[in-house]
Amino acid sequence: MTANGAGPAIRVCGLTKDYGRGRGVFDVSLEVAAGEVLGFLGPNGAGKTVTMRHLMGFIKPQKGKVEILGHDCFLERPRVQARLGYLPGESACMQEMTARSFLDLMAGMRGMRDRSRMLELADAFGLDLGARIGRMSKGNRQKAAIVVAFMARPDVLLLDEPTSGLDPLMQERFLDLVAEERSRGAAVLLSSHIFEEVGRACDRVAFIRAGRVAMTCAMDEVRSMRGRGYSVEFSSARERSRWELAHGDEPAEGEARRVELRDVSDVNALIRELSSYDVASVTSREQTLEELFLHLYEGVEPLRQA
Amino acid sequence: MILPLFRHELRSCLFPTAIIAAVVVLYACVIIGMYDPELGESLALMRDAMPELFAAFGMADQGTTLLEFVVNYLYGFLLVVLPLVLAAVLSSRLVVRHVERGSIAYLLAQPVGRARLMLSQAGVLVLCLVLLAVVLTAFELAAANAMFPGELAVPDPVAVNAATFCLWLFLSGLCWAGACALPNVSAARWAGIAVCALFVLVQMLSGVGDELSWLADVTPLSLLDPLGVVGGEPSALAGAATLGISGAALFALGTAVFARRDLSV
Repeated sequence: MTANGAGPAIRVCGLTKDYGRGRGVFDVSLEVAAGEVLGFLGPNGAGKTVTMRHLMGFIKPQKGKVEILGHDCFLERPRVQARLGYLPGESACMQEMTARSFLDLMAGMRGMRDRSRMLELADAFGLDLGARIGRMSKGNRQKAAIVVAFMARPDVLLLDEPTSGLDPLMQERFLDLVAEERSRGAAVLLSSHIFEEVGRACDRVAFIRAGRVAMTCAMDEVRSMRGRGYSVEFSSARERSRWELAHGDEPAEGEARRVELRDVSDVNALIRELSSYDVASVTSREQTLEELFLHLYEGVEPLRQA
Repeated sequence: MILPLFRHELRSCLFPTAIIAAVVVLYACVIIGMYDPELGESLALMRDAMPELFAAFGMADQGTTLLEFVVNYLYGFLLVVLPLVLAAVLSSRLVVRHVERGSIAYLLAQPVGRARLMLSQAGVLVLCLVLLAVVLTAFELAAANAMFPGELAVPDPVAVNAATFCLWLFLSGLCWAGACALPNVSAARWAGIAVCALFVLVQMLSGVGDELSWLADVTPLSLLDPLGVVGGEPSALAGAATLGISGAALFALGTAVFARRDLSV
């Protein structure tokens, strides 16, 4: 969705910012449509926050284009930010202020007269408006930051590690809020380390590694790619060592009888193979997203664009 | 001007401004109280005994009127250094602290341009300096009226402080430009005040002996001639105007650089 309503709400095209020694982002391209949540996954230092800073207009791109609602993020900052909600990765609210005065300041700078949504969100997250931000826990500061990001009902939301410090109940509430904003038509870019959070909140996921987008695909596709993990307990440590030797592994020391098998895609082949061993038990579980992307962390997955 | 932010920042800057204003007013009242022919003679004796030391602090000439006495003992050093400390503290508070703590991310995330944001912050600093000048002038007049009625005409301290305000604007412009333009937080905090302190030191050195007297003309501080401004001398008026315009230009320069620089916050 551009300024005149066509095209993606968030558009990053060939973004490059080279800080030297391999740091920065290189030829990053992303698009997020209105009413869509894109998860932005990657390890520390992969380039998630640098990309977010470009979208916020804090940094000027060396190469490439960064646009929100059809406006250049660096050159047309006020026009972009009028329709943008931002949740920074490091919650650095003004510590000397109370939550209420901080929220009032942000609303005042935004020219918001109607504070009902602000109070509604503060109430939903149980934010103590009279408390000084400097004396708050990390989770409570994060709640204040969430209220600031969502209170103006923005068309675009940039959320950098949004549930950091929140307890499980508040994480649930936050994910409900994201779903509500998505159904309202907001475009959301959600950067996170937490795979399950991304799995629940996002329609698509982009995986960034060493400053480059390694893969972008739909969450449904990610779910279909998920294999199952198996835990096999052999009848004896000797039997386990035989299995390990057969798979080219160095047999583990000690009397442990269990092996963990990740990313098993052919269950029949596993059963056939296990039939020649003395097995005490086999348990299975769904592979976590973390396991699914582990090979990307390790840098062996070929580039793929969905 | 961003009114909600301006009000918030002004409230947070009034306390350091009040402290510096209290110190400045105290000195002003004490110096005015010292304007006494007998004490003046003893001061003259001290000055004759330590001419270099007095000259270093800009107190080479006692003067014959209350205005000359006050300008000589107050405006050569104290009313340069104390407002400079205030300008450095406020520049740090209004710009560097926000960058250092990361709270600038929240300010930049609002739909206001960076230039407008920084001009609003600069407005707080300038207003604090204006308040300092107004309070100083009011107390000088009140003290002079109470202790030496008729000795100090109202336009004189107004003209002196207006000229001195131009110097303050220049010094705070240097602090502001450093705070806005330099990417390193420590450098942003200290560069401006370091350059200004260098000017003050050079001017102090110029008063120590004849061999170094030429140094008096190499710093921008030499452009301030409060008594010349009171007398309407064109060179003094031009010097004050140059300081004021340069100060405004430094504020504009710092703001312009800030509007274009990368902020990794």
